[in-house]
Amino acid sequence: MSRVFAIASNTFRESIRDKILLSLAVLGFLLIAASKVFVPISIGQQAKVIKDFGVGLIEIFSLLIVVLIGTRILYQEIERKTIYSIISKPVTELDFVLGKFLGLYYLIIVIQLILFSIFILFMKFYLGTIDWFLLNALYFYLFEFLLLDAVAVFLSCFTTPITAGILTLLVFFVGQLSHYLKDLVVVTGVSELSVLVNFLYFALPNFSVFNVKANVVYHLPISVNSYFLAFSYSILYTLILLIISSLLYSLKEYQ
Amino acid sequence: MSNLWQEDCRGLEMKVIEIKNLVKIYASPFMRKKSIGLNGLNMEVEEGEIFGLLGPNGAGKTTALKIITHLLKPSGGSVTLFGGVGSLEARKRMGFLPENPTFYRHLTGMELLQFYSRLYGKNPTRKELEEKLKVVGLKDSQDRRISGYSKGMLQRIGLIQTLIGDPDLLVLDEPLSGLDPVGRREMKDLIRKVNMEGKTVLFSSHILSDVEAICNRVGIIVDGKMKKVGHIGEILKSEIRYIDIEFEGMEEIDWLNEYGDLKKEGKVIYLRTKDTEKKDKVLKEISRRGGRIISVVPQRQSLEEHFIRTLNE
Ligand SMILES: Nc1ncnc2c1ncn2[C@@H]1O[C@H](COP(=O)(O)OP(=O)(O)O)[C@@H](O)[C@H]1O
Ligand SMILES: [Mg+2]
Repeated sequence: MSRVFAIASNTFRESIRDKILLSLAVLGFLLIAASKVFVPISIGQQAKVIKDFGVGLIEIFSLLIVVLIGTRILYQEIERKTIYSIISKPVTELDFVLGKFLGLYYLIIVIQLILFSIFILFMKFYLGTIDWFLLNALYFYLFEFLLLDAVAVFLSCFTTPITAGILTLLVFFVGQLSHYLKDLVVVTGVSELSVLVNFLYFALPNFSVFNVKANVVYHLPISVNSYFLAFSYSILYTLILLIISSLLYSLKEYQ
Repeated sequence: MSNLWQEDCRGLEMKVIEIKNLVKIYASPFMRKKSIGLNGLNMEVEEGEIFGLLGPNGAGKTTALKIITHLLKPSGGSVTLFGGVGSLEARKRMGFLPENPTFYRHLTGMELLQFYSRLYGKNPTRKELEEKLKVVGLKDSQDRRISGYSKGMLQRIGLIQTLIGDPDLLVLDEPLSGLDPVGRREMKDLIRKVNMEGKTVLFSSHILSDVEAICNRVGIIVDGKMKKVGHIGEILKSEIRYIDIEFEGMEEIDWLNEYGDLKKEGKVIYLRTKDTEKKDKVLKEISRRGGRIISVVPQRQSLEEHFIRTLNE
C-alpha cells in the first residue's frame, strides 16, 4: 500500500506543479469576477442566484480538473517514459492505477475544500450570513468526482488524452440526463431507440444520483437514502472501473 | 577430492538470467508491417559477472532488456530470472536503467530518490540519499529540478536509482551513451565498483571499446540473434593475429613484400605480417641481411575488427 500512496502523492505533486492547474485557477477567478458583473441584475433573487451559481461553478471547475488533468496523468507516464522506472520496480499494475487514481482524487479533495471555503467567505461578505446547508453539496460532489476520476482513468487506459477528455465529458453529461433517457423512448414512441437507451442507461454511470443542487439551493430535504445511494453507488462503480483498468494495464507493453 | 568438489560447485553456480529461444514480434492493429525485435535469442548471465550485450543499432538489445525487466512481453521463448522466481520478486531483485532515461521533471534529484525508495517500501533519510548522490557527483544538484538536468546527469541519477532497492542484478541499457569522455570513465568505474560489491551487471552497448574495457563476458547480438558469446580473450584468441615487426638499417626490402604490408618512415621500416608461422624465418633473414630489429609485437585482433567480421558473416 505504501507504493500506492507514493505514486498518489507524486501524482498530486506533479499536478500541483503543472502549469495547467495554474491556468485553471486563473479561469476560476475570471468566472468569479464575471459573476460579480451580473449578480446585481436579479434583485430579490440575489441570494438564490449566488448560491446556485457558486455550487454550479465548483462542479464545473472540478469537472475541468478531471477532464484536463485526469485524462493525462496515465498517458504522460507512458509518453514521457517515466513508467519504465516504475513498472521495472516491484510495482503491480493495480498499484500503479490505484496510485494515479488516488493522486487525482487528492487534488479534487483539496480543490473542493478550497473552493467551498472561498464560497463560504463569499457568502459571509456578500449576503451577511452563511448557508451551511449548502455543504451538503460537498458530500455529494466528493462521491460524484470519485466516480468521474475513475471514469477518466478507465478511459485513458485505451485512448489519447483528447479522446478520453471528450468521452469523459460525454459520460458526465449523458450520465446527468440518464433518467430522462427512459422518458425519451416513451415520449417519442420510437421503440428502436429503447435498446440503445437501455444500454446507455445501465452501462453509463448515472450521475443524477449526485445531483442535489436544487435541494441545497432551495432547502428541499435530502433523504437518508440519497446519501446512502450516492456513497454506495460511487464506491461500487469506482471499484469495478479500477479493477478493469488495472487488468487492461496488465496487458499493456511499454515500447 | 578437491577437484570433484569444485566440479559440484560449478554445477550449482546460479544463472541470474537464462534466456531460451526468445522471440519478440512488434505488431499492432495500426502497423501494416510486423517488425521483428528478437528472433530466437539465447543467452545466459551468471552470478557476479559483468556481461556486455554488444550489437549494432536495431539488433534487439533494448528489446531483450525490456523483456527481462517486464516492460515488454515475449512473443515466444522463455526468460528465467534468479532460477525461476515470480515477476514481482524478480523486479525486487533487479534495477533497470533505460536507454536515454527520463525522470519526473517536476521533482528534484533528492525527491526523485525519495519517491523511488518508497516504491521499495523504504524510507531512507536525506543523509543516506545524499551519500548516494555524492558517489555520482550530484550532491550539489540534489535540490535542483530534474527538468534542468543534463543528459549526463540523467544517466548518473539513473544509475543511482537502479541501486535504491539494493538489487542483485543491474540491467543497464546503453549506460555510457551521451556522456563525455570523463563521464564515460566515471560511469565505467562505477559499474566496476558495484560489480565488486557483488552485483551482477548486464549492460548493452554498440560501442566496442566500452565493452572491451569493463566486461567479463560479451555476447554479440545481430538481427535478434546471439552470434557469439564468450570471454573477450577467448573470442579473440580463436582469431588469426598478425605481427608487427619494426626494424632499421636495411636498404633492400622489396623481397619482404610477399610476407606482408611494408611501410617505411625515414630509416625505420614496419612489416605487418599475417604469416605467424614464417615469423622466425623472416626475423632471421632480416638479421642476416644486416637489419636491426627494434621490436616484434604480436597484434591481437581488436574486438572492433572481430565485431565487424561477425556482422558480415
Ligand atoms: N516499438 C517498436 N515498434 C516496432 N518495431 C520496433 C519497436 N522497437 C523496436 N523495434 C524493432 O526491433 C528491432 C530491435 O530494436 P531494438 O531492440 O531497439 O534494438 P537496439 O536496442 O539493439 O538498437 C529493430 O529492428 C526495430 O526496428
Ligand atoms: Mg537500444
